[in-house]
Amino acid sequence: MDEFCANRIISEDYGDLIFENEQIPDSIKSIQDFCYENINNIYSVAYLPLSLLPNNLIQQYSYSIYPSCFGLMDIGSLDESGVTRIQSSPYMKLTGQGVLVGIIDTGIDYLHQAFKNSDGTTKIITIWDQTIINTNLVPEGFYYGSEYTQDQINLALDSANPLSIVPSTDENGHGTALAGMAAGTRNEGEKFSGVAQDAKLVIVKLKTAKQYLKEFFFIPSDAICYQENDIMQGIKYLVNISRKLARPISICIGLGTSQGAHNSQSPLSTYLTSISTQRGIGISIAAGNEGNRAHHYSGTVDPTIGYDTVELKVGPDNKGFAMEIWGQSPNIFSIDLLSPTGQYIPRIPARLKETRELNFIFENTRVFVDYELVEEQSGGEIILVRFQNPMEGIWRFRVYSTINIEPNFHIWLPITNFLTEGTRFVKPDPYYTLTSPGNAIIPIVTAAYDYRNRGLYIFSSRGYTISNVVNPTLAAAGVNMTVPSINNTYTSYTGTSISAAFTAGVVAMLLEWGVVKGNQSQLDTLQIKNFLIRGARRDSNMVYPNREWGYGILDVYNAFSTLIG
Amino acid sequence: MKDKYVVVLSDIHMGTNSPTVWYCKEIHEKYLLAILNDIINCADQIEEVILLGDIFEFWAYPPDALPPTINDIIEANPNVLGPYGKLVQALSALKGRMTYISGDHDMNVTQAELNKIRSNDGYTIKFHYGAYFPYYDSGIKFIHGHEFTILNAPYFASRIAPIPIGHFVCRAFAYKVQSILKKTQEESICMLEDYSACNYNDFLPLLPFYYEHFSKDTNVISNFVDALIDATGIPGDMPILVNPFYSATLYDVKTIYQSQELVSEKLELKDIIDDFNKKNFSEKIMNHCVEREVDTVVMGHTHSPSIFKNDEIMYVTTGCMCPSVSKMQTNPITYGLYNLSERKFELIKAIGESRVTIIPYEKKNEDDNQAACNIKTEETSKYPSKIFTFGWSVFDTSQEFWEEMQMGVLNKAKELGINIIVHDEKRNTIEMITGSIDLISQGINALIIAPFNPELLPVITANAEKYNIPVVAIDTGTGGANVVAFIVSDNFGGGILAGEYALNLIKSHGIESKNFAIIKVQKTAKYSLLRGEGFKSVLLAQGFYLVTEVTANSEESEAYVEMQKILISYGNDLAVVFCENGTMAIGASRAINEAGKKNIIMLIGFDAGPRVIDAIKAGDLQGTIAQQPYRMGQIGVEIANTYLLGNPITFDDWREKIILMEVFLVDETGTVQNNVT
Repeated sequence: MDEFCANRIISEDYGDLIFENEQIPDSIKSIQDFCYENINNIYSVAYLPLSLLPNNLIQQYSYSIYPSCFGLMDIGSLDESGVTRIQSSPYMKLTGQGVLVGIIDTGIDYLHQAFKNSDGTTKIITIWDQTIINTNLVPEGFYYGSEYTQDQINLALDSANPLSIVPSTDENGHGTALAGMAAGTRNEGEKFSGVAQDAKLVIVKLKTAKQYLKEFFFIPSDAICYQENDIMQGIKYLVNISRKLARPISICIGLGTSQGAHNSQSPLSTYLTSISTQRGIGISIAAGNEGNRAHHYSGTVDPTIGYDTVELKVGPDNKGFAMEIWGQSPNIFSIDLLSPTGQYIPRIPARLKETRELNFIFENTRVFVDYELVEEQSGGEIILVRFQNPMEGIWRFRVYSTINIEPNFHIWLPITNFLTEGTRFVKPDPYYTLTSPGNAIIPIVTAAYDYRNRGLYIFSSRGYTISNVVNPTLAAAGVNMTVPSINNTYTSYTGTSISAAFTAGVVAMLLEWGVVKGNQSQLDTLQIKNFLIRGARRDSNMVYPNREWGYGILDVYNAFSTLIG
Repeated sequence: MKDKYVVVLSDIHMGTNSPTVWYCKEIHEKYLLAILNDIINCADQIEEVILLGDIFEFWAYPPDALPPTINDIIEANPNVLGPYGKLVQALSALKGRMTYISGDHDMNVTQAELNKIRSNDGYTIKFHYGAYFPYYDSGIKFIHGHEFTILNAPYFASRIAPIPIGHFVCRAFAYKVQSILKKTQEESICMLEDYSACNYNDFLPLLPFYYEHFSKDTNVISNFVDALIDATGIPGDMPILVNPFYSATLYDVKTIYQSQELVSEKLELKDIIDDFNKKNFSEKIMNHCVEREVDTVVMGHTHSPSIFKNDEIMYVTTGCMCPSVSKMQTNPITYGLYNLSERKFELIKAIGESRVTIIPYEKKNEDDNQAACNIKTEETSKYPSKIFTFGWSVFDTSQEFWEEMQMGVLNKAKELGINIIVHDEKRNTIEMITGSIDLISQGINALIIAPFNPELLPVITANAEKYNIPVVAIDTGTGGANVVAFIVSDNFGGGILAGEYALNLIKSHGIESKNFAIIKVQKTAKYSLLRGEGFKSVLLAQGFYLVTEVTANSEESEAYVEMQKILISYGNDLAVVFCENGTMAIGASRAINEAGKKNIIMLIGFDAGPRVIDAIKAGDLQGTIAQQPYRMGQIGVEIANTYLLGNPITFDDWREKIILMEVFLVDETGTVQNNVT
């Protein structure tokens, strides 16, 4: 890859398309200015000028070539009331010593005391800030962003103007919260303690998604949103650092999306699954916060009627959103659409190889419909329905099926962060609401619960994956947790990404016991997951596994007892 | 007069896709299918297709695997050999002009076995033993070529005749390949770097070394087998399954092939080495050719494509069709093309979709065997591109609906450069059948038909199948005939559209009645009946009550009578009537008018012919569903063309091969409502 091509990674004039390695079609290669990069052992990303891209990409090359857009799996900061400190006693004196905790997120406030050792030096090994352009600091093996080392950060910490030395910040606080939860230094006064306090941090600050993707999927311009390929690059970076330092790593993913078939086959999920059987790597993923949002509908077409009727309530001031209908092969699904004022668009044939644009004159709404009958990654059918400026009210559509071999289908709206409030299905289904990559098969996928009353966090996404793999794996503390925040403050956070960070801390402790202390040097995510499942606390009145809690509540003590026993 | 060609395919080595077989379905099949497609498309220009040996692979299997039967190979390669496979299609397109000459790896093939590959219209491949001198050209000879080797020539002096020692060499190779695969974790032989189909020496580089170190006094065959054991690592006492009743170890092999009949004089080590280096190959062939006074001899076997002239005789070897992945560049898939009229032989290299003529390296001396693998590419020449001619058989062009459809057909054909021969069925079953069969006999490439009597379409498609002509049906139905695609309006969706519109009308006209009625078409009109089903489902879901559902057989007068009856029973409490076609809607409107219920009882039709539109403008009915005959005609041509080019077709219902055409509402003002782009 030359510098010329590298510039396109960050250029807004170029689109990113994900292909499997060696599978880039000639018609893409022949586009003027084509260049690409193998970003890992499975996927390549092609960079192409937006102006030269055909507009029927989905029909021509499959929906999966669009990088999905991922949002933060949290509802943001809450008030600081009634927060107590999470259990922090290090069992068996395990504190994550010798282990790395990797966070791919909004960055980190490296000046925060939670990330300093007792001698005032930093706990951070490196930061790869994808957003800062400095050709001298591009990490080895990558083509964009800037890398800051431990030495540079320590230098910055000693300086009067640290940002002049290491200009990487966390404007949002989400990444800072996750890093703190997993490995932050205890602060008795603030009643805060990270889980694996002696673990070292490796941070990837993601660059935000390109504008054309946000526009294509009608993601609100103020929503924080990251591209699938940047996340994959981040993971690769973390794995590289772990290899280079010969230290095990516990990776935390607190991001998610409702795009995709909700099985384990999205590029990011596939990649995470592929590295989770490598020794010394533990992966914890947020299940998502989509459980009770009414953003999912599931239905079955009654063959005697020929269709199923779905009602979607669109809230006020909605500028647009993209909705995905996924159906199982060999059925062929198609839709019609009725607007709130009664304008009706008859069934749109499924075989079309182009985008259909529906104009609702009274509503001043445009709807774009794309079909892909056999989507490349999942083999199922996807109908992508994009609403531009949808009028408030009930939009009704029928989902037709022509073949009728178990003609069931699912519809997902975007995650809460990407959707203005009030848009929901009239008859929603709270299950199958795990966000991707929380549908990955091997990694540990965490639901969130309130450790004070043992109640499930109401919005915690529910399983299983669409292929009925048992996810979430378990529930971890994730309601009103005290975490470090930007500007050296503390706040309280709720959400499954916090429970993922909490779990990542526990995983770091296990890696210390297994790999660093040599008790089980081949430890990988699958083994760790099984230890945690075995040790999970279960309520005798409930059947396990179940869609809400997976195999139960993460119980650190019990998990370690099973290790010893 | 167009040129006539002979296509020569050899050394495909198609087996059961086991890892030791050179032909890997995943890699090589697409090329083979593309070549066969070309053959099908140009069938009338092809005098004959010659399968020049080693087409099937019965040898390259590990010692403990029983070599497959032809049934196993057919089963493993359905896309080529199955009842709908491309080879079978080609056989049918060529009307049986295909000859099979066996090579070494498939020397056990017989006519009886080839008969298992039979086209639907009854053609089979002709089997020819040994050298083949075709009747259409007295100066050319086709032979696989293994006959000229020492190791692979048929060996008759054993109980397993004609299997030669080469069979066991091949099995020992397979043993080695298996162990390499295990070590390298590759899936099959085609993924191995060090291997090429060009030369055995690539694979057994050490073999000559062994020869040189044997003493001259000992037995040649015995030494050779020992060398083979050393080079491949196969245990000498490992049983090699030859057939279900017989297995032999390599130690046995030493004794099996001791007969001096193998060659006329005493076998020397040098002969075997030469055999490996293919040194004596051409010399022997030359002797062979002079006897028969031919000037061209075409062979397979060597896996290196070459053409060279020697004493006015041209020798061609066609190369192979199963190179390993890493050697695709240097040893591409090649086959032969012989222009009968000009008596010119060309080698063609298959690269993706294109076929490139190659000039093989001119052999200056015979030792230069390796160089023969390097191929220079000259100009790009595809098969002569072909102009399609489609037949178009239409219901009745005196009606506007069909006339519009015909315009769609003609305009699309013009755009794609396709000739159209038109036949008007004039609403007559006999015209439909005889006219269509007449089109088929005129040598069209595809038939597009809007059948007047769809129930009898199977008669026409059965005829078309004989000539391998695809049939695309439009609008009226297929009668269950085997068509490539059936293009039809979205009748169910149109019924639902009418239903949604009825709800709007009831609301806007302030109608309080909750009753509705449907006047249906005849029971045989399978697709048009879906209109009423769609309409009904919408109104029932909204709490309306279906008071009656009657048929009026698509007739205006019957609809008039039925509507009168409905009005007598329900005239004072009826919100809306839906007619499944336009003609009936006009009949019904007359009855409603006479009863003074115009604009009080809503009436919706289906079809937007001029009479229906006029009736809407007069307020006699409140709306209808417009179909798109022009688009349907266009799509008919597009689909037939797509099919002939071998590209995939996407259906809305792949079981019945239905392609749905969108419909639109014409509202009470007579305006077409189309907000879809």
